[in-house]
Amino acid sequence: MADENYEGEAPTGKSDNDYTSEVKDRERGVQQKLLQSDFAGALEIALQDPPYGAGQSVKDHNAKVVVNVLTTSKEKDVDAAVAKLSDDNLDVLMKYVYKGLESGENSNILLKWHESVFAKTGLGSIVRTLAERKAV
Amino acid sequence: GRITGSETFAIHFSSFPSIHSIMATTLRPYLNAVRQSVTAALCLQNFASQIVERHNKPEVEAKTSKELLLNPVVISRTPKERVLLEGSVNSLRISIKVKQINDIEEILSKRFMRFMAQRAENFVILRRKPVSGYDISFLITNFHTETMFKHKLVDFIIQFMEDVDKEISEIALAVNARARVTAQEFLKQFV
Repeated sequence: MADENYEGEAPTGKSDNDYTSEVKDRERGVQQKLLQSDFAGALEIALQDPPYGAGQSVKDHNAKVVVNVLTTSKEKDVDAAVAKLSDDNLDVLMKYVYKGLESGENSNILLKWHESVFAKTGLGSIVRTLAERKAV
Repeated sequence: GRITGSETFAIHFSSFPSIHSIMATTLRPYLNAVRQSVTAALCLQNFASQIVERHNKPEVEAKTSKELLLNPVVISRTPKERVLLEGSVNSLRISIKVKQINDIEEILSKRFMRFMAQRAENFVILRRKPVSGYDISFLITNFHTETMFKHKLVDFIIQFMEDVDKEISEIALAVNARARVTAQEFLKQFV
């Protein structure tokens, strides 16, 4: 019992279905932006409102959407995109970078993202990835 | 003139980047990411056990309470080469899966890692048994960070990762060279 509220967030009352539809909308928005080669825009959409309270499969789906944006970008787009993000979004981005690094695919570009975010935020974003209860 | 058969072979082969140069492009960023993550996770402080009085256990091993543990993080270079970082309030466990590209390197790395793990006492920060799914594990506690420099510990881990990769490649090459020489000598008697 204690574990459910333990996550430290007020239950938002959003069901998994709500989350799933959000993720699908996000996916569509991201694909549109990617077709227009607007990486910074695609990233903004992808990083909005991470589904912290959702079930594991929804989180995995969202992670796939975000990591897709990260891995399809080119090295030269990375710094420009990172420069435009807010501090909160940078933290969320770092969490997704680590999530993407778990699989071992496309590590080249993900490590470039890691380096770029680290250059901007320092150890703070890494510490927050490790310590925050809200995990992506 | 016309390109002969052996020349096409040479051209074909030289146009592929070697597997090691493909790997080399991600080594530095990989080690940097590991270095930064370890530095971030190495914030340890003394924390006595909340369950048993007068006991002081590395919480990442005991896993007694959720609030004392950090989110585990995996940094992979390839699906077969990665580092797992499990942190907690007073201890950090670093598990490394060493790069092994063929059977020889697998055997070598297993032996090498076992050799070191058996001498874990002298190594201080080494764990006797690797975490399942990995080749070797380190356990660093607050007591270690109190007596040793944190940045030196991190330097050591990174240097270790580099050196192990190099050593194993070297030994694999030496094994292959010796095998070739032995086979040549042996087969001479049949010529």
